[in-house]
Amino acid sequence: MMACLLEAPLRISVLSRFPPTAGNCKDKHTKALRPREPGGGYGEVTATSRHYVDRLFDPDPQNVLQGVIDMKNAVIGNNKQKANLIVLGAVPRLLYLLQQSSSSLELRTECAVVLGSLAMGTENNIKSLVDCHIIPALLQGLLCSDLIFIEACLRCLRTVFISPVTPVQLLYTDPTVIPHLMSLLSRSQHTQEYITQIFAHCCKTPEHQTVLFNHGAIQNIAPLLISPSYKVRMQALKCFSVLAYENAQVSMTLVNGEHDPHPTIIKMMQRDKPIEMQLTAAKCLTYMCRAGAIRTDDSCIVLKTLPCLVRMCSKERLLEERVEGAETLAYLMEPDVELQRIASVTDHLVSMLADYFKYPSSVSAITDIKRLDHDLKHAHELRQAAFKLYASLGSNDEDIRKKITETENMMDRIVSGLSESSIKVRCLHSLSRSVQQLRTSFHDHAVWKPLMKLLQNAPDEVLVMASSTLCNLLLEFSPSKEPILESGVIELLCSLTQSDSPALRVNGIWALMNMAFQADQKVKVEIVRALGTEQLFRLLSDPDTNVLMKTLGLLRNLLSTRPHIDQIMSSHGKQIMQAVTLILEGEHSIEVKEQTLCILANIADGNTAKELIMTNDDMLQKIKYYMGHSNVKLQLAATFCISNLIWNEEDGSQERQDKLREMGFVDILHKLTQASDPNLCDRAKTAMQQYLA
Amino acid sequence: MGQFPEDVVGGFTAEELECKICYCAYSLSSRRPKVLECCHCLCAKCLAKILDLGESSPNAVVCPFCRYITELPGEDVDSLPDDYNLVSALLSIQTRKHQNLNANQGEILLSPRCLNSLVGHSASASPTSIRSNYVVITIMEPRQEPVIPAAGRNFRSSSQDSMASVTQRWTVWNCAALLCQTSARVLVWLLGLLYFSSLPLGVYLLIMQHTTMGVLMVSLVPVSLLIVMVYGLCQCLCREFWDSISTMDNKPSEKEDMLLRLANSIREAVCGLIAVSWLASRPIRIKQPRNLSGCSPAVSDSGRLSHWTLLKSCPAKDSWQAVGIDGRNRIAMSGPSSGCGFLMSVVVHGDLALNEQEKELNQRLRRLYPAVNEQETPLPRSWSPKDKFSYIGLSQNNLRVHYKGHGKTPKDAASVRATHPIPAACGVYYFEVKIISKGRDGYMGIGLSAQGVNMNRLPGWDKHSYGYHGDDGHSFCSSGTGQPYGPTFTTGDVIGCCVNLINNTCFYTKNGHSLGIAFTDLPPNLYPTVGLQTPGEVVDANFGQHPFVFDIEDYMREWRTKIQAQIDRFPIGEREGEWQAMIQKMVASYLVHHSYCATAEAFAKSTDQAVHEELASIKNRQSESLQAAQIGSSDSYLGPILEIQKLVLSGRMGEAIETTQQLYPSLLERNPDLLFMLKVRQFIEMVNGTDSEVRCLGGRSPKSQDSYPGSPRLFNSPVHKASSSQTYQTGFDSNYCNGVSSSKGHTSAHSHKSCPPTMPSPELGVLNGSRGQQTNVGAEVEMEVDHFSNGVSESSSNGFLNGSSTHGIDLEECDADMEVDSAQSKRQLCGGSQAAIERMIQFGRELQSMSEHLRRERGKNSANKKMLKDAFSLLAYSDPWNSPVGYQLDSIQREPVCSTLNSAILETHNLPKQPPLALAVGQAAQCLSLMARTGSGSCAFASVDDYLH
Repeated sequence: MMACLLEAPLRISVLSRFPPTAGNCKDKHTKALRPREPGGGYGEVTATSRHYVDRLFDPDPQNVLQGVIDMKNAVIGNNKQKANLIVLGAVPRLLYLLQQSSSSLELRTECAVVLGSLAMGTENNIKSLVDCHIIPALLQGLLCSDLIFIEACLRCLRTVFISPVTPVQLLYTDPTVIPHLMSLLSRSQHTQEYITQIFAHCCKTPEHQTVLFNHGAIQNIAPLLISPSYKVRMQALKCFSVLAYENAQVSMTLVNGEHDPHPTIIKMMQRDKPIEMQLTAAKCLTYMCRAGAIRTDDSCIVLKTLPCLVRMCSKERLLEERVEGAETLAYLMEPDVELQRIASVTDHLVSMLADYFKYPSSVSAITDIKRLDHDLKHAHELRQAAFKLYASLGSNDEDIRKKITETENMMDRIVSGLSESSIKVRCLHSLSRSVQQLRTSFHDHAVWKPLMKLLQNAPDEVLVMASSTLCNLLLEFSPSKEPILESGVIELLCSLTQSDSPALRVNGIWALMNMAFQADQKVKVEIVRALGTEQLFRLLSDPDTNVLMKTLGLLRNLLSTRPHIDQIMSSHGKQIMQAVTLILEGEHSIEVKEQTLCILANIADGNTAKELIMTNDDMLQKIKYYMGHSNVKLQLAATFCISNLIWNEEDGSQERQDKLREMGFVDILHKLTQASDPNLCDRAKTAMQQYLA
Repeated sequence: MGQFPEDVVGGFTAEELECKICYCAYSLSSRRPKVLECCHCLCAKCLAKILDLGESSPNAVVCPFCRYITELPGEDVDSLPDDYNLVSALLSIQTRKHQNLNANQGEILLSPRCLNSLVGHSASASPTSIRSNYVVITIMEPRQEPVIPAAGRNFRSSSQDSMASVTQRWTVWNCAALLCQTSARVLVWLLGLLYFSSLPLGVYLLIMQHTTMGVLMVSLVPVSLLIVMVYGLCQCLCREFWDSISTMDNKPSEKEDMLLRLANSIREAVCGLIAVSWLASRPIRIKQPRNLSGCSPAVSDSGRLSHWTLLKSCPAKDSWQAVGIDGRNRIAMSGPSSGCGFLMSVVVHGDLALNEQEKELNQRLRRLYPAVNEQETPLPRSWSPKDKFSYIGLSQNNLRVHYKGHGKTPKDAASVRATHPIPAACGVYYFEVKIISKGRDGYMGIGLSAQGVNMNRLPGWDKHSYGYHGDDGHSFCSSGTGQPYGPTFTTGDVIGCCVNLINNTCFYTKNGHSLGIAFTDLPPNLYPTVGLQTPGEVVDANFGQHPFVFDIEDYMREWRTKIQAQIDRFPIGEREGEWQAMIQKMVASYLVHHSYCATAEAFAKSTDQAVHEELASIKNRQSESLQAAQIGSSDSYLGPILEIQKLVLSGRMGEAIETTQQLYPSLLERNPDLLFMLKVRQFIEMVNGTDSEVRCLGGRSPKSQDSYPGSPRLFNSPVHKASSSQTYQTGFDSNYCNGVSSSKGHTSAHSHKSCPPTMPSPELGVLNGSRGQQTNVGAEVEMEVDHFSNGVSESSSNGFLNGSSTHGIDLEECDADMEVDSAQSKRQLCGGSQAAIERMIQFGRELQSMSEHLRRERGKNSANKKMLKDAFSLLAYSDPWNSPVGYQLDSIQREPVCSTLNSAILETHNLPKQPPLALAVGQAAQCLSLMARTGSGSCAFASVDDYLH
C-alpha cells in the first residue's frame, strides 16, 4: 500500500517556478541571528546550496546523515535556502532516502525533519513538495514503528496539509490511511496534535465527514478534549467543529453518543478559557445546533453559546476574532427569531457592530503603519461580517430592524457602494421586510436608486437578492414605488422573467405582480405591453410552480377593477381564456387551480368580459365541475365566478341566469347552500338570491 | 424567596387537604373534614355514604382504613368532630386567596423561645430521625397510673392505649434527652414561679410602700394577658385591613369570611393565652413523635417553633384534643379535662425551607465572595426595613417589595435600599430582582444608590443613584432623563444587576442575558436599590438565596483570570536581577530561620551566586556562632536548635524541654507561658504515646530513649560509639530538615524519632526485626544514661525526669510489649501501657497545678486555659484519635509549638522573630485587606493563599 513512485528529479519543472519571492518567514528570530549567506548573487547562493545537495549523494551513509543534519540547520527559517534546495532537486533525493529501508532510522527521521522544514516555507515550496509525491511517501513512513520517525512524518504531513494549495483529496485516496491515522492517535501527544490538525484541515466536504465519522473519529478524538496539552485540546475541538458542520449524523453523535463530548465542549466556553478556545467551542456548538442536534432553545445555546459569540464581537477582541465571532453568530441565529431577539439586546450588539465600520481608525493611521496595514486588511472582512450579522438579526423581527436602521449612518453605509458587496444587499433585503422601514428610511435614503443601478448588471447571486428587495420596495404602500416605476423598471423586470434562473424569474414576476396590485390603468397596460402575451404564456407553462403562481397572481392583479378587466380582455381575452383552459385542464396543484378560478371570477366581473365566459360552454362546464369538487377552496372560487356571472344589477343578467339555469347551476347552488363550510354556504346563498330577485 | 409552593398550606400538602376516599379537596361546606375516633379523617360526604351502606349499627361508622368502629354522638355525620387542623388550614387557604402577602404571618401566634433549645437538643440526641418538615412535640402531664376510661366509651380507651405505648417507649430515651427535659422543666418552673409570684410580691411591695415596683409587679399578670389579647385582636384587624386594601373589588361573601376569621383569630389568641399559662404551671415532657405515630418524624436541629396549633376544646367532652402532623400521618390525642391530665401537642413546622435557604445563602455568598470579611463589611442579604420610603412594603423576610402608595404622579415614587452597601472586596457583586407583578404601569427601577439619597424617587433620578427602568428600558445615571439602554421589562422577567468594583462599572442582565455596560465610574459603597411607582408592583430580590439566572460565576472567572494574569505579568523591568537576588535571599533566610539547614545549603548551592551574598548578609546581621552553623556544621549554634526542634517534631517533648533548659537556661524561666505550652504539648504527646517518658514505659526501654544524645557535649563524649554518632548526623541532616520522616532503623533511638506517631506498627516491626542490635545499643547506652540523667537532675527544675529514668523495665519486657503492639496494630492510649497511663495522669496533675500557679502569678490567660482544657479533653474519649479534639494528636500540631519555641530562642539571640518571607506574606495579606477597605475591587481575586502552596 501507499506505494510511491520515485520519479526522476523534477528540476526542470520546478525551476520554471523560481526564484521565489521572499515569503513570510516562519521563525524570524532565527533568521535574524543567522549570518547572511556569503555573496549576494543568486548564482552564488545556489552554489553554496549545491554543496548540501551533493552531500546527499555521498556513498558513505554516515556522510549522508551528517549532510542531512547540516542541511536541516541551514534550512531552518531561511526561505531562500529552502527554495534553492528545492530548485536543486534535494526533495526527490530526500524522499528516496526517507523511503529506503536500507537507510538508518536516524537518517530517515532527519530527512522527514528537513522535508517538514522545507514545507514551512512559501506556498510554492509546498506545491513543489506535493508535486514530488511527498504525501504518499510520508504516509508510507507512518507504517514504521518508531515513534520519533512517525512524529517527524506527521509534522511534515501536517504542514503540507494545512496549506491551502494542497489538494485535500490526497488524504482520502488510499482507504487505509484514515484508520491507520486513527490508530496512531494513542501514540503520543504530538501524534494527537498533528493528526487532529490534519483532520481539521482536510475535512471539507460531507463525504470527508462521513469517511472520518465511519472510522470512529468521534470515539477516538473525544478523549482528546480533556488532554493535558492545550494544543491537542484545541485541535480536537477544531476537528469536531468541522465534522459537525451541517452534518446531522455527526452532530447527533456528539450530543447523544456514548462518549458525549458535548458537556466538555460547553465547559470550554467558560470565560476564563483562552479566547481561541471559547470561540472554537462556540462555533462547534453552533454547528451542532444548526445541524439539528441541539434545540435552539436549549440553555447551552441560549445562555452560553450566544452570549459567548456576542462577547467575541466586542471591541476588546482581535479583529480576526470579531469577524469570526460575528459570522458564526449570524449563522447561529439565522433561523430562529427568539435567538435574534435575545442577541439584539445582549451587550448592545447592534451598536457594537456599528464599530465594525470604524476601521481603519483614523487615529492610528499615520503613526502606526503596521497597524494600519492590519486594519486595512481586516476592514473589509469586518464590514462583511457586520452586514451579515445585521442581515441575520433583522430577518424576522420588526423591532430589531428598527433598531438597526436607527443606528447612526447605518442606511447610508448600506446604500453606499451597494454594488460592491452581495452581503450588503442581503442585509438590505432583510431590512426591506419591514413595512415601517419601507415607508420611512428606505424612502429617505432613496435606496431604490443604487438598487436599480445594481440590477442593471450584477452577478446572478446578487441579482436574486436585489430583485427580491425590489419586490418589497414595489409593494403598494411603499413610497418608493412611484420613482421606481418612472425609472423604467418594467422593462428590467420583464427581462428578468426571461432569465434562466428560476429564482430570478420568480422575483421578476413577483415584482410585476406587486406592481400591478391596484395600479393605474396606464401601468397595467404598460406591463402587459412590455411583458407581451407570448412571454406571459410561457411563464404560465413554467416548470416552477412558484413562477406559475406569481404569474397567475399578476394576471389577477391585472384583471382587477371592471374597466381594466374589459380593457385587457378586449385586447388579450382570447389568449387569456386559452391559458386558463390550459391550466384548468392540466395537472396542477389545488392552489394553482384556485388562483386560476379566481382569475375567471375576476373576468366574470367585467362588463364585456363576461361574454367571453358565457360564450364558452366548455369553460362553464369546467366551472360546474369545480363547484362540485371535493376541495372547498375550489368550490368557493367557482361559486364566486358564477355569482359574478349572474349578478343582478348588470345588463343582460337575465339571459345569463337563464342560460346557467339551463345548464343546471341552480341545482348545484342549491346543494351548496347546505354545505358545511359557512363561507361556501353564504356565497351560494348570495348567488341564489340573485335568481330570486 | 419564600415562595411557598402553592399546594403547601399551613403545613399541609395538597394531598393532605383532600379526602382519601374520594380524593376531592375538603371544603368548609359539604366536604367538611371529619375526624373519627381512630384519628382518621374523612370528608363528611364520604362518611354519610359509609353510613348509608350501613355495614354496622346505624349509629356507628366503620373506619375504612382501620375498621375501628366509631359511635356517632348524634344522629348524622355532622355531629362528628371536625378535623380542626384541616378546617383552620382551609380557612387560611380562603384567606390567602385574597391575600398574597404575608403568607403565614397570621398563623404564628406564639413562639416560645425557651422551647427552641429543647428542640435542638432532642434533635441532636437522635439525628437519624430527620426526615420531613415537622416536629411534633407532645407536651403531656406524666401519669402515674393511666386513667381507666369509663366502660362503653371505646373511643377513649383507644387513645389511652396509644398513650400507654408511648409511655413505655420513653424508656428508650437516652440520658441527654432527659437532661434537656429536666432543664426545661426547671426553666419553666422558674418562669412560672416568677410570673405567678409577682402578684403577692407586688402586694407585699405595696404594703412596704415601694409603690412603683409594687404597681409594676401587681400589674404584670393582667398586663401580659392584655398584651396577648391586644396582639391577637390587632393581628386579625390587620389582616382584615390588608384584605380590604388588596381586594377592594371582591366577592360579597367577604363579610361572612371576615367574621369567621375574626372569631377564629380571637379563639386562637385565647387558646394561646391558655397555653401559656398552662405551660407555665405544668411540668412538661418533650417527646419525639416517632413513638406517637409510628412513622419517622422530623426533627431538625435548626427547626424552630413557629406554629402552634392548639386544638379546640371539644365542648361536649370537655377535653382537649391535640393533633400532631408529621407529614403523612396524623395523630389525634384527646384527654379528659377533669384535672387529671392534659394532652397537648405542639406542631412545629421546622421552618426548614427557610433555614435551608439561609444555609444556601451563606454558602453561595461565601463561594462568590471569598475575600469579603463579613465582620467588617457585611454583605447585603435583604432589603432594609428602615432605609425605605413609607410607600414601600416589605414581606417574606424583607425580600419581597411591594408598592402601597397612590402612584398618581412621579412624586409618589418610592424606593428601598438593601441593608448594607456592597463591599469592595466582592470584586464583582451581583443581585437579581424578579418582577412578580408589573402593577398598573410597571414603572420599576432597579439599580444602586448611595447612603442618604432621597428614597421618594426611583433609583437613577438623583445624584449618586443609578437605575434601569422597566417602562422604557432606559438607564438613568444620576439624572432625570434616561439614556436608551436595553429592552423594557415586565411581569415574570428576572433583572440582574452586576457591579464590577474593579473597573467601577455596572451592567444589567435580563433573564440571564447580559445587556451590556450601563454605568461607568461608579462611586464606592453603593446599596442595591429598587424603586416602584404604581400600585400593584411587586418584586422579589435574590441576593443569593437562590441560584442566579445569569451565570455570574463565569463572569467572575473571567475577571479572576484577568487579575491573576495582571499579577503574573507584573513588570519587573530593569531590576530583574535584583528581584531574583532578593527573593533568593528571602527564601534562604526563611530556611535558616526554621533551621532547615540542609535545605538551605542545597538551596544556596543551586542558586549559585546567591551563596556568597547569602552568607555575607548573614554575616552582617548574625552573631559569630550563627555563621558557622549556617555553613552547615551542626556542632555550634544551630545544632542545638535543630536538635530541640527535632525532638519537638518527633513528639518527644520531655527531652525537648530538658534540652532547652539545658542550653538556654534562662529562656523558659523568663517565658513561663512558653514552658506551659510545651508542657501541654508534652501531655498530648503522652496521650499519643510518643513522648519519651510514656514511650519507654509503653513500648521501649528508657535507656534507648534517653540515649539520644541531648547535647553536643554528649556527642563528643568518648563513650559514644562512632557508628551511633554517625547515624545521628546523617539522620539529622536529611531526615529532620525536611520535616519528613524516613525510618533508618539503625538504632532504636533513631527509628523512634523519625517515625510519625500515626504509624507505630511498621516502626515496631522494624524494631522487632533488629532486636539484637537494639539490645546491643541498649546495653551500650546504659552508661550514658546515668551520666545524662544526672546532668538533667542538676539543671532541671522538673522532678519527673529523674523518676522516669528510674523506671526499671528490662528489655525483655519491652520487647514483649512491642510485639503485642505490632500484633494489634492499633493505637492505644499512651501506647497502651498501664504504667504510662499512670504517669500521664500524674503529669496531668502537675500540669494542672502549674496552670493554677501560673494563674496566681500572672493573672488569667484564656489561651492557656483553653489549651489545657482541650488537652485534657482527650482523655474523655475512648479513642482520642477519632474524637473531636483528636486533631491535637496530629503531628502537624507540633509545628506551631516548634516555631514558637524557635522564635523564642532566636529572640534571645537578638535575631528577628519572624523570617522576612513570613513578614512579606503577612504584609501582602494586610495589603489586601487595606485594598478591600479603600474600595479597590481587585483584591477579591488576588488571594495570597493562591500563591502559597
